[in-house]
Amino acid sequence: MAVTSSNSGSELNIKITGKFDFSCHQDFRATYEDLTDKPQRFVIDLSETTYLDSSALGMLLLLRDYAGGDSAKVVIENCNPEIKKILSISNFEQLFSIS
Amino acid sequence: MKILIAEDNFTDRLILRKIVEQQGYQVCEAENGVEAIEVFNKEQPDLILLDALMPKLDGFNVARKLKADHPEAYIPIIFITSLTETESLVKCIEAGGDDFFTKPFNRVILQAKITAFKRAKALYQTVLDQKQEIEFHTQHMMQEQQIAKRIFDNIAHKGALGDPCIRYSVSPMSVFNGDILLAAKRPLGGMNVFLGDFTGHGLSASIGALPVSDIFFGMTAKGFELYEIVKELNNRLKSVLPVGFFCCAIAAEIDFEDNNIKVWNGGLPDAYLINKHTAEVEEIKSNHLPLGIIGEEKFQAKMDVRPFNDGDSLFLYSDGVIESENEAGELFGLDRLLVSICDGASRGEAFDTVTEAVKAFRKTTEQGDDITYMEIKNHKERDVQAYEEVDEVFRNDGPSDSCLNMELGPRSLKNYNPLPSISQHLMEIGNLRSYRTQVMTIITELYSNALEHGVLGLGSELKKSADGFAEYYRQREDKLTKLEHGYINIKVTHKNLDSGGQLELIFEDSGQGFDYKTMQDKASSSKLSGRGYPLVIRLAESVEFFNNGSSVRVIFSWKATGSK
Repeated sequence: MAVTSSNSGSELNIKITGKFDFSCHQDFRATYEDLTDKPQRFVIDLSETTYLDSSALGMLLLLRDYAGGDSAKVVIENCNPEIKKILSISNFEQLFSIS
Repeated sequence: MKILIAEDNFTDRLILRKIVEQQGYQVCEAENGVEAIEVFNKEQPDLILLDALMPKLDGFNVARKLKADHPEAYIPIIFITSLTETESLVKCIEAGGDDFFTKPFNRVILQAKITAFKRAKALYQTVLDQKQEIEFHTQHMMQEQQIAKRIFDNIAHKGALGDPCIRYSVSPMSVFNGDILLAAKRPLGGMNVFLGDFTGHGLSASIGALPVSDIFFGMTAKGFELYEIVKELNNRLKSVLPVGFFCCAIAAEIDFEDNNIKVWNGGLPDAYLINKHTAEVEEIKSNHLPLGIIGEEKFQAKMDVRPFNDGDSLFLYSDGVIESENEAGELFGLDRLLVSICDGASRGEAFDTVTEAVKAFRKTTEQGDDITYMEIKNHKERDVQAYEEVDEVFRNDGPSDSCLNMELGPRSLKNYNPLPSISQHLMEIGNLRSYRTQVMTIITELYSNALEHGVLGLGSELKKSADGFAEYYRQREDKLTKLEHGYINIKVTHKNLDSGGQLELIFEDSGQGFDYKTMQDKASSSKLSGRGYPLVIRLAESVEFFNNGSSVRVIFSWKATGSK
């Protein structure tokens, strides 16, 4: 598991490599919590993510909340079919843009 | 810090005492081995300077005895010795010594050794304290969990899980894995079931389970519809759970009389509707967000309505089933689950085939705590009257004569269910409580007839085929959304009599009425299957229609329980 991020100022890109589970909790939060300026858009890159559990879903909700709740712009990108299935079972496409 | 000097030579003892005292430590002394043990027990020193060769009991034996008597304690022993051969030094260490110090005495070296042991001892003490603290907390946590479990069991009692139509598997400690399984009989017949899977484990998950079971049982008993219960569950969880925590859940309402099932799936794997006769397995997918994520205004409690006939069953499960592992670390997986469900489908034994398949797959791997699944079956032989809900308590309180009049306009008809509050009122009437099932059935039927066939003008012929069934519910929702005019007037009058009481129910709606004569003939020709008016006619003392059927008067009489 590894969480890496890049921030252009207006957009924060977070990439999770390997398992996206509770062990990422600290690292995942750290990518956005200490930013002085809140980015307008958040992109979660799951291209290298192999697994995603319910605590990861929780972390995504936390990020969405931080990013402004219903007005948040959070995009989840490059999900493999397995991960896309987990996201759609929970109907997360109602809350996030998933591509 | 206190140091024991065990040394038979007076001069040596004196020199050692001076060196130690110079460092500011307390000293106690012994002249031989036996005395060394006595003084140790009395003074409880922190470190021992022990002469190897002493009268009565030599240093090696003293060291062995002390270490044996105090296995938990950290007592550094420094052997004082003039022995220089390696063999003797090895003997010191083997006897339990931690270090040795050779004559002639060098003050600096001894003081350095004592300082080093003092540090080690402090470290040991810290570790020991922490260990005790951890043990204390662990014990405390276990106790708290046991108490929480007991409280939880009292609230989330088994409900109707013991009903013959339900088979289920759930770990005794499942609440701490975040799974919750509930079943309750509906006062007007039928059953509500709920399977939830909270994110997280341990106490946080079980705390969320408390309001869930409370609301589920409480609202079911008061006659609320399942969609109203699901809405309320979502609201409550949204308000109590921190962001990022939620509950994936399936709620289902089974109507054994009307042979249909309403299912709401938010975030759990597909539920399976198993048709025993065709052995077909139909999925009921999750099409909602889990509970506790979004607020009331966006929440959707729309139910998936499906026919549920005799022999059909509904299979529900949480992730734990497909995620259970075998020795090789392989997952049981969806394919194996589906194969085992299909295997048992035609015999109506899906629960058994799944149980066996999971067991065979896991073999010797430890039984996981997180396997929750259930199967609910529709049995034709069930009887509306068979519920054991009759409350035997003799009550004579509550109103003795009352009249309740309620008129609902188009906006109320769209989204308000008046039945729970009417039921609440009626259940306050002394002995009527014992007839809850019958009374609720009558009121529910009268209300849905007034709404669906009266105000909305739907024809009941539609419901006879499986396709028409879905179409009926689609039209019902469509017409209800567009409703602009109409009303239902409900008048409930009761009076207590010496031997019981009498209830008069008048339902009047704005509709065109219906062909009640044909229906009455059907009822009298003993075609009593299905629900609706035939059922009301069977349960009530009298049923009279007015205004072409748009108004109906029903009399229900009851006998007081306990009075003879």
